[in-house]
Amino acid sequence: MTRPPSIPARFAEFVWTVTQAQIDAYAAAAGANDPIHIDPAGRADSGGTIAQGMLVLAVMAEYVADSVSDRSSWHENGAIDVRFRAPARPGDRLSVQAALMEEPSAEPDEGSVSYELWCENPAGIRIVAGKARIPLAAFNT
Amino acid sequence: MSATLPELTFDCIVVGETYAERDIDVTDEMVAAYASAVGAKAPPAYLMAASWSVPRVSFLKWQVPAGGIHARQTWQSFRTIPSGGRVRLRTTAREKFHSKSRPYVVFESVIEDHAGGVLARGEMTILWPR
Repeated sequence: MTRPPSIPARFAEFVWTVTQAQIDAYAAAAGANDPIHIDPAGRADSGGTIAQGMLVLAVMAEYVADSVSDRSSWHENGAIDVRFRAPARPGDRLSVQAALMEEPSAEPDEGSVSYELWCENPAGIRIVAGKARIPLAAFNT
Repeated sequence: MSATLPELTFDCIVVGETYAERDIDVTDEMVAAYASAVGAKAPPAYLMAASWSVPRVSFLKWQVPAGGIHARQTWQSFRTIPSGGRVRLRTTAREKFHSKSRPYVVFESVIEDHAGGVLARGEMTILWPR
């Protein structure tokens, strides 16, 4: 089966600069306010605060939502599976990317496609990586 | 208050036991604040409910030690989390194991609507603090 043109091989890259203001806003919104995230003095020995893993993943999930035609389909049947490999810190300029893993016809579940999904730092190290299973309906196929 | 709560150490975590079970009233303000924090162009944001499952946020009857490392996360959404409604969060320990002599715990969280319909579920693997 030929891949429909509405299902891209890659999503456009999203460049995200982590800020302490965003980490603080996430801490307030989600209750994730451990000192490791919001108190630079508490982590002076290890380079300052780190972003919440759930914040990084949430930004990645919104990247998927912004990359498909129908975000409601992503909300109604999308799935994520990622591993956290390294922290993100304020000032980090991160690149969020996704690439189609298989042709739709190879999917066990023919109602979706899988994308490799990752967030890498300027050194090219993938600090969060895994996959997203996206319903075909999200592409308006 | 938190000083009187029992500390949730790796050894005392029981696989199969539920550590968080609570109702959450989802408000417009909550949805907007979360969406703004994660940069969502249109609320609600996909992982909002997953944020409720973090042990140090949701295990209200335990003192969860600081320093845990989020190692892996799965999340599957079945329906959009409704604003203005009440949902139920339930988080259960599913697995404990050691890898390279380090202790890991896997918690499964399920979000249900008022009728018991599953809205989302996921698993969080944590390198548990010593």
